[in-house]
Parts: sequence; structure tokens; C-alpha cells
Amino acid sequence: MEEQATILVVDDEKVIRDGCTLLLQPEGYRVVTAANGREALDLMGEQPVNVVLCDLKMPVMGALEVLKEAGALYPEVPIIIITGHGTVADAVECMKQGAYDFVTKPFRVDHLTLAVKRALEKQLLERRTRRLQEEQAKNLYTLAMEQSRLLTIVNCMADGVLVTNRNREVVLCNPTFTQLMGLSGPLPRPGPLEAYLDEEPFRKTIEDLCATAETGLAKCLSQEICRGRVHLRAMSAPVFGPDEKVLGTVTVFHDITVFKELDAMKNDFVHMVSHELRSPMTAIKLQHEVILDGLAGEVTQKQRELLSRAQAKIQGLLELINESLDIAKIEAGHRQLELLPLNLGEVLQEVAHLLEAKAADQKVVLHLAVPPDLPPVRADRRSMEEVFVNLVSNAINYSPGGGEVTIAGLSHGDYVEVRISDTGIGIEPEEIPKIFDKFYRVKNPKARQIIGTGLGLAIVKGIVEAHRGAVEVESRLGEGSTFRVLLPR
Amino acid sequence: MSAKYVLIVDDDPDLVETVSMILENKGYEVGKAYDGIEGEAAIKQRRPDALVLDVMMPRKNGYQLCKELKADQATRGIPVVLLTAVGEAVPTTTYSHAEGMAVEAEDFIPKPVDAATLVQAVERLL
Repeated sequence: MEEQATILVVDDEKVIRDGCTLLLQPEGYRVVTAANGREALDLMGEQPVNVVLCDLKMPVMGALEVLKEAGALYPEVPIIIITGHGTVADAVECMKQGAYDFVTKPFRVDHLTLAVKRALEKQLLERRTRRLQEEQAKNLYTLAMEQSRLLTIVNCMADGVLVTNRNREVVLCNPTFTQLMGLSGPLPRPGPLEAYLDEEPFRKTIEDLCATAETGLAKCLSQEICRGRVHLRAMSAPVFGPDEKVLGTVTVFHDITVFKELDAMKNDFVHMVSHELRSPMTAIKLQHEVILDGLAGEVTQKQRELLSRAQAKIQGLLELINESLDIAKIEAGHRQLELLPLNLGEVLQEVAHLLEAKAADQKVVLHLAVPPDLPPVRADRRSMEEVFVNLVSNAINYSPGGGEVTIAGLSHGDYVEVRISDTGIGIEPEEIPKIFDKFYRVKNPKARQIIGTGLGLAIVKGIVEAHRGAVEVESRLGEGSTFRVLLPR
Repeated sequence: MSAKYVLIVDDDPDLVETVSMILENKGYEVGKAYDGIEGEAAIKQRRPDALVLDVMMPRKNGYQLCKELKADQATRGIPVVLLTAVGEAVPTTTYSHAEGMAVEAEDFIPKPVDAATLVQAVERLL
């Protein structure tokens, strides 16, 4: 609701003041009065006034002076001059001095109210205009600031930024981009894309974005761009205008050279380790075999014994290499898991069969207790074989002669459990949290002669967790251990 | 009947020496070469009944040599067993079992190899 407007009536004649008050109050205005210009100006200093009705001629201060002073102090307050018939020329002079209107005495009711109404409307209109102008100025300022801020952000970015218009011309790029591209010297802007980045697949992407975006589909295309030794990941997206038509594109270039190099270095290293270590070991292994086979002359019993032990050590080293590579692969997420419905019972039967001879050698009895209706799990067959060969061999290795190893399968609704229990030497409680760590080996004098890499359980854990399963252990020193593998169905 | 002639090509002289001892013990006649180029020359000089070929060698690797042999009508028939230290354990290598099959080798054994496996592989080729 609009505020009640205040009208100031200035006249030296009380009858005019009262008359105006009587006329204007019913119109809903608040009316204040002053007997001369001086009083009027004082009053305007004390309270807000919307419109002034001012007599032309007054003893202390006349309308011309009021116009001059009020015009300077309150430019937004319209002043209407009240004048007698004989002084029209003076009234015209007042208009020249900035009066808004004049009414002649004796005035008609409708003339006066109309003049006041119009003055108020004018004031309102002016206020609105001024507010709009102020808002516009503020918006322009905000916009300029926003733009400047955005430009600074773009220029400070460690990633390259390239902006094109819908004609695939470059309209903006940041210093990182020119640096990544090795560009120097001034480039036309807007300029052809080829001058900035001459890469056919990229040009095609920008073209596609400019064309297909008009269907209103928002998308972000990612591609790798190789510039000499620099590898970049480019993410491109269309920019839409308010009419949902594409205005151009924005592409951000992230430098992934370091990752690429690290990856290549890692692969080279794995490659090197695998070749440079396995090759000589192969020669050593074969040389031992040749000697053991008597191809290099007769071998004494003592020599044979030593060489056989050396052979076992070489085999251990080869396993260490393979397992190191294996765990590196699992950790890097490189290992391909073919998750297919797998009958664990079958796998466990094979594992038991494979390790039967080993168990017999160590005088350990192997039991297999897998129900025929054990539900299948989604798992990679080769990895599961690795897991259970590892766990069952461990169980056999850490069981003294006459011990027993039991492989049991259980179904628990959403998951399947495989339990491998032994009657072996057991694990010290403080060692239990560490046994799944890489290269950790139990420090039990009874376990000293057991050959191992310290990686087996780390691999088991890695594989099981990659299947979103879990592996747990319970053990009592001197009584045996139970490893439980839980796999989701 | 004269002894079968097996050519072994590997850049590790120890391995070549040991493998030849093993094969000679089994009654084969063994030729030796230490890289792909030498292997190629040795084949030209005397056509082997079987070839034991290492993959990673300087100058010309085993894949390259095998591919060339299989592309040549004259040498196509020589059976090849590829030996490599880089097995399936390496994920992104260019040396793989699949690659070995692609160059049409008859067999592929990963190192480390033991004497029995090697002898079996050679016997299968002949």
C-alpha cells in the first residue's frame, strides 16, 4: 500500500491555507502549512514533503526564492505555484525557474487536486526511473565485476581453457592453454580453431557439439589429445543461450602427462623385473637340473642334497617374483576378473586333488566337506583357485605330521562361506592382525623351515576383497587355525 | 637315421649352453645362435627340424623372426617353440601369449621352464 502523501501549502493568507487543507484532506493527503517561504523551507528540513503548493508573493520569502533553495535541496519535490490573475507573467517566470505547474487564484477545486495529483504522479515516475537507473548501474557494475572475476579465475587455472563461438571460432583461451599448446605470438580473436589446436578428432568434437547441441541435449565429451610428449584430457561441452540454442563450446584441458609417464614407467618396470629376473633364474634352474641329471659328470650324494636345496630356493624366488607381480597387478586394479557363476565345490575338489600329494608328503590328512547343493557364487575361477590353493597349502604347511586339514563349504543365504581349518601350530594372537600384510611372515621357530614369500595371504585378501568378499581368521596357539572366506552370491 | 637337428636361439649364453646339454643328452643335434639375426643366418645355413626361440632378444626379437619364417614358403614348415620370461603376469605388455599365437608359433612356453617341459615341447614338435 502506498504511503500517505504529504502536501505543504505555503501562503501568507490563512484563508488560502485553510481552504487548501479542506480541499486536499478529503483526497487522502496529509496537509501541512507554512505562512511564508522561510517557514516552508524549515518545515521541509524537518519532515519529508511530497508536493509543495506555494503562493507567488509572500512578505518574508517569495516563491522565486523558495524555488531556488528548495530546487537545490529537494530536487525531487515538485513545486506548484499559486498565483493571482494579474501575475501570470511572474508565474511563467517561476516555471522557467523550475516550478512544476501553477494554479490561478481563485482556483477551482478540480484544478487544484488535479495539479497535485499530477505532481505526485510525476514524482513517483521520476523516483521509479531513478531507481531503475540505479539498478541498471548496479547490474552493470556487478556484471563487470563478475566478468573480471571470471576472467581472473580462467586465467589462474592450472588447466587449459578454450572457448569457441558457434562458428567454431576461438573467442577465449587462457595462458595455460597457450602454454600447453606451445603457442606464441598474438593470435586472431575470434580466430579459426585450427590456429589454436589443429587436431582432427578435436575439431570434429567441437563441430558435433555445435551441431547436435541444438537439439537441446546437454553433453560433455571427453577425449585424450597427445601433443608430442604432452598428454591431455579434454572435456568439451556446449554453452547454451537463454533460447536453449548453442552459443559455442567450452573445453578444459587437463595435463595427464605425468600419469601417463608413471603408468608407462610402472609397466616398463614390471616388464623389466619380469624379464630380467626370470631369464637368469631360468638359466640357473636349468643348470642345476643338468648337474643333477648327471650330464656334467657324477654327482655325490652331498652335492645332490645341496643342489636340491638350492633348487627349492630358486623355485621360492621365482614364486616371489610371480606373486610380487601378481599383487602389483591386483593393487593397480589391472587384474581382469571374469565374474561368472562358479561352482565353488568343484573348485575346492580340484584344489584338494592338486594338493593331495603335498598333504601325503607331509603326513597330513585332507578332508573335503562341501555339500553338493552349495549355491554358486559370482567369481573368477582362476582367482578362486589361487585363493584356495594358497589357504590349503598354508594349512598343510603349518600342520605337523599327523595333522588334519578340513575344507568345508557352507551356505548363508546371501553369501557362501568356505572354511579351511587345520590342527596346526596356530597363530599368536598379536600376529593375527598382521598376517594379511605384505611380506609378513610368522616368527614361530616351528615355522622356520617353511618356504614362503609372505605374499600369499595378501594376495588372498586382495582377491577376496576384489570380489566384495571377506576373509577372517580364528586361531588358538598349538591347536590350529581356521580361515573363513565369505563370498557374495 | 641321423639325429634331429634343433636350433636354439637365445641371448643368454648360459641358457643356450644348458638347453643344448639337455637336448644333446636326449640325442638331438643342437645348433646355437644368440639373437634373431644370427638365428636367421643359422637357419639359412642349415635348416633345423625344430626351433627353440627366445622372445626378447636384441637386434631382432623372437616374434619378428618367427613371423618372417612363417611368411616365407621355404621356412614355413619349421616348427617353432617360443620361450619367454614375460608371461601372462604382465597386463599391458606387447609380449603375450596371444601375440605368440599371432605369429603362428607351434608352441609357447613361459620361463622359467624345467628340463622335462622343454624336452616334451621339442618332442611334440618333431
